[in-house]
Amino acid sequence: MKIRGSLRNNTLLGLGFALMMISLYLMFIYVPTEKGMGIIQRIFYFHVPLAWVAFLAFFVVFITSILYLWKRDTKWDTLAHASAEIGVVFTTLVLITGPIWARPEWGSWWTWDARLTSSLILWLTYIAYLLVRSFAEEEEKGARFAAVIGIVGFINVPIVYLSVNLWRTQHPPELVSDLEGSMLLTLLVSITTFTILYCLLIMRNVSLKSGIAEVKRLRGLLEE
Amino acid sequence: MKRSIVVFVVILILCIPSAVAAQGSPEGQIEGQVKIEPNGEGDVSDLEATITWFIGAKIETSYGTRTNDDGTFSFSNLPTDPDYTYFVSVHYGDSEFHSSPITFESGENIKSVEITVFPFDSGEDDNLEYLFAAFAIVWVVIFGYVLFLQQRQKRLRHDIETLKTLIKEND
Repeated sequence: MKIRGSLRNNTLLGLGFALMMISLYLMFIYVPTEKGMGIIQRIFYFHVPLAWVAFLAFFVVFITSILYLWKRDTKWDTLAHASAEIGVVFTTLVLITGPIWARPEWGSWWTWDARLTSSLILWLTYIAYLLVRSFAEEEEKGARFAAVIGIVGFINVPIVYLSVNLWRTQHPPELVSDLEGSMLLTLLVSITTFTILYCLLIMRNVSLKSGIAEVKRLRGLLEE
Repeated sequence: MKRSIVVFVVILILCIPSAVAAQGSPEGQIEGQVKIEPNGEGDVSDLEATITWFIGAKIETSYGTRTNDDGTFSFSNLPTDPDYTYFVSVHYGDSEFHSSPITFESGENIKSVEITVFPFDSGEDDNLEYLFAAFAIVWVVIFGYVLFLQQRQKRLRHDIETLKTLIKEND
């Protein structure tokens, strides 16, 4: 079982590394420079995949939180916790790369438009999720509260996604279907690469969280 | 009669210089300097500089010269009539850079002009640092996170081993 897990891990790692190299080639050499924005538009090829992974991570939190509240099996809670942490890391990166892109394009780092504000709220929601877990006196209680936040907080994900269509925003609308062939290919390869990275991170993080639970169990045994 | 003709001719001769001055004698000169942005570094020698002049909205004529090693250029023998408006343009890279309109004031016959040029794609080059910053931050954060997970995992393994040994000893 351990050998199979290690093989799966290494295969994903190798595939992820190969795809990362291909992505870098596509992002910086293969894909033509966009006419309107120039070279800065290349941020798009990792800004969008980062956002995609953040949404995927929060979707996993949403599903596993429901499963945890329903089945009360800690494996779902562990998975939700691990995914929320990764989601926060990736949303942080979205909130960093976005303003770096905005500065030369809009002339300002930040604007309180619907897309940016809802993304910030999403980030704060999952920061709250992690804080509730770490400050809860009883672990089980913290897990339950966090699961509720994980479910309710996910409502914001479609709001973030649709905000550019629902309100007038400075952020450009989703134009993936209008992308030129080479740009679409670069984006899709990059999304696949970051998704594999998410899988690798979630496996490692789940193993870490399981390790923490094991340490707690052994400490309990020792105290008895 | 003879005397009046002489007086008339003398008056006529005296009037000629002022009439010529009013027309604008072709003794004007425009001296120019090409500067390069953003940091003044770059070759501004042998660039094509063109002068075009207008009377009202009508283009009168235009001709060109080339800049010296230090980016200076000069156009001479230009009419100094205040009705004449001059524009100087410099061809740099794939772009034309124009001066502001130049007009000689009465009594003036030398004008100076400075034309600032910049590489056409300088905006893109400037943004390269933003692209680099975004890319670097993404990977530093991701690698930092992976390293953090790895370190914690290492510590946990050690803790688990220690706890298991202690439990065994207690038993």
